[in-house]
Formats: sequence, C-alpha cells, structure tokens
Amino acid sequence: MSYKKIGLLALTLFVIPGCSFTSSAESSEVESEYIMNITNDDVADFVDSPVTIKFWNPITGPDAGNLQNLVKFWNDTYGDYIRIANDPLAENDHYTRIFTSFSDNSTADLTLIHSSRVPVFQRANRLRPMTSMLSKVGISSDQYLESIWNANVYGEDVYALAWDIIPTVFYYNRHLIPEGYTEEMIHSDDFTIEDMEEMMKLAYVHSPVLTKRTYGMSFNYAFTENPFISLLYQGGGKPVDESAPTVPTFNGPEGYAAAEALRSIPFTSNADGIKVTSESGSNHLNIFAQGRALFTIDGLWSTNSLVLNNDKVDTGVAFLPKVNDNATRCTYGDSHVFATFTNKNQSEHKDEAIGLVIKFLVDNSLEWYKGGKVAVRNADINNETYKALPWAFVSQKLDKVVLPQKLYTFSTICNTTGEYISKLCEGTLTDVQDALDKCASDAKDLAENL
Amino acid sequence: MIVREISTNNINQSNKKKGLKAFTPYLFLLPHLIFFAIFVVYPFLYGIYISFTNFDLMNSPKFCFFDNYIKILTFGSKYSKDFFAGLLHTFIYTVTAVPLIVFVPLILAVLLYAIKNEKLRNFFQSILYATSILSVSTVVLIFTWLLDRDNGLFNNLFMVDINFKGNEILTWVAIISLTLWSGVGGNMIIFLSSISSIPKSQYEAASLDGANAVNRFFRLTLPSLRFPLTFSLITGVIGGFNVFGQPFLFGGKVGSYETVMMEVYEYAFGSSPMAGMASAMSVLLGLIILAASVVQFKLMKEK
Amino acid sequence: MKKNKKYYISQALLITFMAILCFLWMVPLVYMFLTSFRPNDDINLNGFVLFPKVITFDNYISLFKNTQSAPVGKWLLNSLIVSLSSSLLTVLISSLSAFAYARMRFKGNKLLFSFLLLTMMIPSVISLIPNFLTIKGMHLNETLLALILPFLGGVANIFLIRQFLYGVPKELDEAALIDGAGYGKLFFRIILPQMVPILMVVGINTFLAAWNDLLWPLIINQDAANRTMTSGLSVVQGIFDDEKGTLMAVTVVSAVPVLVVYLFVQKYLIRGISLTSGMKE
Repeated sequence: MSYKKIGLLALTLFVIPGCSFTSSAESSEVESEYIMNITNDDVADFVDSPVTIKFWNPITGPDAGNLQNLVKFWNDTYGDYIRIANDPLAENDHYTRIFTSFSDNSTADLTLIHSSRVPVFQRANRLRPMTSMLSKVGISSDQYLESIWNANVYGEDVYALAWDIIPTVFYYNRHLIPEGYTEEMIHSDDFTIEDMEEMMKLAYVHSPVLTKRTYGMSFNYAFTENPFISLLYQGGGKPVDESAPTVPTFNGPEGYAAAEALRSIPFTSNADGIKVTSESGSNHLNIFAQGRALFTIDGLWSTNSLVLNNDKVDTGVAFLPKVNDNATRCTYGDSHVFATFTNKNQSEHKDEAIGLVIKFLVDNSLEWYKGGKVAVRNADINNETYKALPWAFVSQKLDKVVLPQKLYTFSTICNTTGEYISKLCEGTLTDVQDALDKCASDAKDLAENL
Repeated sequence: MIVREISTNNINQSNKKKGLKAFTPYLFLLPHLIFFAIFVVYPFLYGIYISFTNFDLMNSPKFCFFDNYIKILTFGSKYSKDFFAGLLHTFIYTVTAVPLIVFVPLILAVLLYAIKNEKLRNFFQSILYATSILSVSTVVLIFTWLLDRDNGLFNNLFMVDINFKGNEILTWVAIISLTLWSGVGGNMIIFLSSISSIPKSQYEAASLDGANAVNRFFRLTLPSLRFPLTFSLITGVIGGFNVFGQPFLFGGKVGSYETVMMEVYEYAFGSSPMAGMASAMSVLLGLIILAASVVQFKLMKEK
Repeated sequence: MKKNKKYYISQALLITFMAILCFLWMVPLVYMFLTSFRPNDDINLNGFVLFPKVITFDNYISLFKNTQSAPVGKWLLNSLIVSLSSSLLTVLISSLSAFAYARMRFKGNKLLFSFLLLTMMIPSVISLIPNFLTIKGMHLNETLLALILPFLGGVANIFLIRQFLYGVPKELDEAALIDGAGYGKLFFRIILPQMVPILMVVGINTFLAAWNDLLWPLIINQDAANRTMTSGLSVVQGIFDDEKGTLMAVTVVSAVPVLVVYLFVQKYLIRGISLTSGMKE
C-alpha cells in the first residue's frame, strides 16, 4: 500500500468515527439560566409514558442559535419525559414539508409558521384551535398586545399563538455615517429614500474608509417583497383589498411610487458612481458585517450576524426610510406563530406536553427576542433587558408596524412581488407600471387557484 | 437499438410436468411485474388523471377537465410564463450540455489513448473519473463556494469580479462547467475502452496506407465508437430533459435558471401547491420527451 | 517501430497537458478542504484567504454535535444502505425477469415484453406525484424502503440484460435441463455466473443513480434523520448559509469516504464501467 493510500485511509478513519458516534457527543455551551415555571408535578403524567414533540420551524438563519439554546435547556431538564425534537429547515423547504405531509396527516406536533400563512391553513381546516391548550397552561389574551393576539383569532378560537413580530428594517454602519449627518436624522420621521441616497453619495465621496470593494448599500436583491410591501403601506396603499381577496391592489399609484423608490436605490446611486450591491450571488449580510457597506435592508431576524462583536462594523437599526415626503414612516412586519396542525399522532396526552413546551418557550421569550425579534407580551415590553436591545424602540412605535392582512390570499399575493421587484432593481425589467401590472396578473392567477 | 427477433427455444418440450412448468416463467417475472404495476403503470395513469383535477395536496381533488392545460397554454398567464421559461432553460441546458458531455470525454479518451505509458494513463484516468462518483449536491456545493462572488477562489485568484449568479448566461456556464467536472469521467472510460479494443494491426495498416492521425480518427476510431456514442447521447438527452439538481441547488437570478422539472417541483410541493397544475406540466414535458425520443429513434434507424 | 524524437516530444506534451488538467481537476476539492478548517467568523469577516491562517476543527466538531438538523453520519449510512440495496435488488429482479423473457417459453412473452419496452418511453416525471401519494398511502414515507421500492419497476435494465443473454450459448440451458436441473438451479448455478459482466454494469449504474438521486428523497423523506447524503446536503445549504466553514465540512464528510472507497475499488469500478462499451446493439 502506498503512502498516499495510507494517508487517505487515516483521514477517513478520522472522519468516519466522528460521524458514527455523534449522538454521544453532547454540547455544553449554554451559559445562561432560563425561567422554568414548569414543575415536576406538571410533567408527572409523562414519567411513565414519555413523549417526543416533533417541532418543525423555519429558524435556520443567524437566530437559530437562540432557539437551539432554549431547546437544549428544556431537553436537559425534562427531556426524559417530554423531548423536543427540533427540526429546522430553510423557509421554502419548511413549507414544502408542511404541504407534503398533509396527504398522510404526518405534520409535526408543533410547528412555527408565519402569521401571514395562518389564513391559508385555517381556511383548509388544517389547523387545530389552541384555545383550551393555551388556557390550561395559563396563557391568555390579557398578557398580549391586543392586535397581535386578535390577528390569529377566528370566531371564538385561537388558531395560532404569536411569539414575536419580525419587521423589515434598515441597518446602518455608524463608522461610515458621513459628516453633517447624525443618527437622529436617520431615525427622524422625515428621513426619506432620497435622504438615504444623498448620504450614500457623501459617504462614498468623502469617507476614506470606502474603497474599491465597498458599497453605499449592500442591497439584497433576493429579499425585495417585504421592503416593497412596507413602502406600499407608507404611501397608504395595500397589497390586496378585503372586499375582493383575489384581486391584488399593489399596482396602483402607491405601488408605483414604492417600486420606483426601491428601483432608484441601485439606479440613481450607480449613476453617481456609488456601487450598490449585492446582486443575487453576493452575500449582502457578509458584506455589511465586514464593514464594507453603509446601509443594508433586511429582516430584524438577521441581527445576530450584523451586530457581530467586531471592530469592523458598529450597527444601528432604524425603520425603513419613507418612500417620499408625503408618506408616513412605517414598516411591514410578519410574525412567527406557534401552530398545531391536525395530524394522525395527536392525542390529549401529547397536547398537554405541547402546552407545557409552548409555555416554557413563551416564558423565555427574552432569549428569543435577543436573536432579533420584537416583543409581543406586555411583560417583555417593559423588561429592562429587552429595553436595552438596539431595536427596543420599535415597541414604542408599534402603531408604525403594519401586520399582515388576515386574508387567505395575502401571503401568495405578497410573495409574487419579490420576483418582479428584484427584476426591476436588477434592470432586467425597466417599465415599472408594466412590471407591476404583469405581477398583479400573476398574483391574480395564483390567488384564484387557492 | 434494434430488438433482435426471438427464436423461441424448445427446451420445454422435454418436460413432462407441463402444468407446473408452465407456471415457472411467471414466478421469474412476478417480482418485477409487481413493482412495475405499482410504480410504473399505475402512476402513469393516475398522473394523467391528476392533471385533469385541481388537486392541491390539502383539499380533495375536483375534476376540472382541461382547465390546467388551458391555463398553461394561455399565453400571458403565470402558468404559461413559468412553463415556457422552464422549457427554454431545459432546452438551453440540453443543447449545450449534452454535446459537451459526449464530445469532451471523446477528446479526452483519444488523448489518453495516445499516451503510451500505461501507468500514467491509468493514473490520469482515475483522477478524471474520481469526481464522477461525488453526488450532485456535493459537486454543486463545492462549485457554489469555488465561484462565490466575494469569497470564491475563482474571482480572487484571477482578480476579477464575475458574478456567476447575477447573469443568465454566466449561471448556465457555471452549471454546465460543474456538470462537465462531474460528468465526463464515465463516458471517457467507456470510449477509452472501446478505442483500446480496436486491433492494433488496423491502426498499423492505416498508417502504412499513409493515413495521418486525424484520418485514422475518422476512419477507424469513430466508427468503432458508434454504439457507445449513441448510448451516451440517448442517456444524455433524457438526463438533459430531466435536469433538476444542478440548477435547483446552484440557483441564480430569479427567472434565469428554472427548468421544467423545477417548475413541476415548485408547483407540486412549493409554497402554494397545485399538484393538478404540476401534473399537467409534467404530462406536457412527457409529450416533448416522447417526441424527442421518436425523432432520435428515427434518425438512428436511418443510419 | 523506431521511436524518434518527434514521438518523445509529443508524448511529453501530452503528459504535461494531462497533468495540468488533472491538477486543475483537483483544485475545487482542495479549496473545499481548506475552507472546512477555517473558523466561520474568520470567513465572514475576512473573506477570501487561500491558505487559512487560523486552523480549527470546530466546524467538524460542531457538525458531529449537531445530530438534530444535520446528522451527516446517519445520512452517509442511509445513502449507503439505499444505494447498495437498490443495486442488489435491481440486479436480482431484473436478471430473473430478463432470463424469463430471453430463455423461457410462455404465453404472452413477446406481447408483455413489447409492452414493457413501450413504457420505457414514459418519462418518469409524470409518476412523481402519484408515486408520492402511493408511498404515503403505504405509510412507507420516512423509511429507507421509500427510497428503494419505486425504482425496482424499471425496464431499461431488463432490456440490457436480455440483450446480453443472447450472447450466452443456449447449449448451456439444454445440457442442464437434460441433466434434470430445474429452471431455478439453471438460473442461479449456470446462467448467473455467465451474466456477471452485464450485472456489474447494471449494478454500478443503479448504485450511482440511487446515490445521486435528489428530487425523490427530498420530497418523500422529510425528517432530518431519514435523508440521504444527497438530499441532506441540499437542505444543509439553507441551514448553514452563514457558516461556510461548516458547510464545507459537511461537503468534505460527504466526499471523502466516497473518494477513499474509490481509491481501493477503482480498478474494478473502471473495469465494470468499461464493460458498457462491450455491449452491442
């Protein structure tokens, strides 16, 4: 046997045992202690007949660690009786998995979905009311913000429990703010997209920090639907009207203004010689975290990778700039909700366990919010630790956060806009009104099929 | 491929227990026929049925006649745009990747055959084939990272700023490159072994006749490769029409890389499922593949 | 033949060219390997570095600890079980069937086989959704059987083996049957050994096809523990999007065992594949 072969064999021997014996390795990295309001009496029912709660969620981004910590803490404490099997997938795969599991009723015991999707599943009778499950563990409407609790109530029943609000926000790099501008200006109610472009120009011209591979904004072309919906709401528009749910209304004048404003970000700026990236293919978060961009637009959930502890970037968070002078500064925010789908494994015994798990997760919402979420429980909003988070100001301006419309067509209609707005921003499409009309016709096609 | 006439044998005649023996052949066929019925015949018929319904994986299907087909073939509708864009990309892939996946290995095989040192030849061969055993996901993940705009080896080594995911043509260049990287090995081995089986004396005779290398290639090598070439062409075309993994995993700008298979996947299992529509799309794709097979078959028969 | 100067120069040029090509061929693998040892934060903050300044095994360690969403060891095992059993079962079932079509006389032989050939024209995509529903109906989803059974109904391999059998002398059958052997004995003792070359081709092709399959495992087995390496890697791409070091570590784990096995069996593998060239129309 040649040396080459021996070397490679040694390498495999190193890799393969690692794979095979993974289950024996347990992580020991949880530093903080969490609130455990659940006592041994509560889990007494599960001592003789332990259960595993299959937990599907779309939390794979920078905030995944926060959820993993919570699950680990629970499993270390009560895992012998009630084990949480945390099984996250990227958002698209997550919903594919939910839809494909309907045909044999094999959906997970507990699922985290987006609030905008609840009406679709509720309408298809796939969701179970959670009313009694929640009241058994003492979760009630008076602990929550009224609007967010009611958003998931149909008739008399609660069909989903909101865990957070996740608005689309505007991140800025304090190191790169050009002279003559202050953070207060970025936060003021009058800050517009035009102001933002002006700042990018100044930063680019004057700042010694910005060089060849740096950018005014690391723009995420793959995430344009939520910024677009936000700007639409700012101008007073709506993606769809309750009176005719299959007819999108985003191609009116407010939609035009919103699309035109978003499109102007790469176009005006590039005309001024300021590079705006990233196209699909570049990691906009990466660029921002490396201190190579003044601004970026993303969901609040990306905070963990943007507010990294490093000296290259000092990140601030603000509402999206407003689309024009006449608009109101506000932002669209979906939310993560706990939901229980009908499935073949459901039982009262299991429901009791699901209730306890939800209670534990909700009690420790603070850990969850640290990963970039806005609080929805009254108790958390006034918590000092929460108030110290850079985005706690959102909780003081909740009237400026627009929640999803409670319509079964809403998520489908909003999701179609991403493709067209991205194409407008990339320059593949140039006629804004035409693109919006085409997009509306696509959305209508899909909505009518629902 | 021409099916040879079967001259039925007369082995059975020597057998006396005819009743039992007549049953034996079906025992040999049974295992396959069970799976064949459940997973080939039934799904084919059922798939066509679904294409006439509005099945969405959530609610029970309702028959809706040709609605799905009409929607796909109505110019300007979302479904028609998605389907035909997918078809276009599938075609782009098939007409570029398939010839390359046949001719690049052919050239490599000829070059390898020209190397007289057998050890070196085998060494090169095993290195070029090694990447073929990696799964498509492994290959795409490696290339995604290699061609990453900011941190990839390619851009940084050559000091360029090429965004392989920001431009339709570049995306396909990348996808086809990675297909070649992981796909030339198998064909190359088949071709090389075919070439090696040509008797040396024939080459020598041709050389004596004054044929140069190019001449010899067209007169001797190519004809002997007739079967392996058609084989790899046919499997290549079928694979081309069904291409899914490479573009699905590599990604790119929205609307620039989706193939029909991806549209079928997206419509069947994506964020707002329409299994009926997806089935209609796959039936249409099936018809196209069928037409392509018939054309190929005819062309080969002529030769 | 006398070897002149020209001969040596052309050989040298050829070898140099192939050597460069092979070197370039390996570069993507090397880059994957190097990246897998870089800390994720280092990659996110410092971007491209050819040779990592900081080397860490953390990516591998965190990967092996992550048994929830990316149990790569399990995936490797699943892939191996699925590919091997698909390959062996396909070889067995197809050769039994091909033997009957080629060597046995029964009612409807020709008709049935023509029907089989006809279905070869059916593109597999139409069967995707119905097969999905069938497997779910049998409650086989989330099992490895779901990844094996649907491929056992294939026809192409039967066709290949049947063609090959025409090259095996019929006298063998007659001699055996006259000696009093049954068809079972004839098949397993006499014909099967004769078919080894074509069975190797079928086996290798089926193994590689199962190993490579993405779409089917992606939709039918949705729990992390039941994925194959190929479908697992595809979801991991989303999960570790911000952790390129870990992502490359998974990729290394998916590639290295296969490459090492290849190192030892390459002779047989290459011989098996080159047998395809021996098949005639």
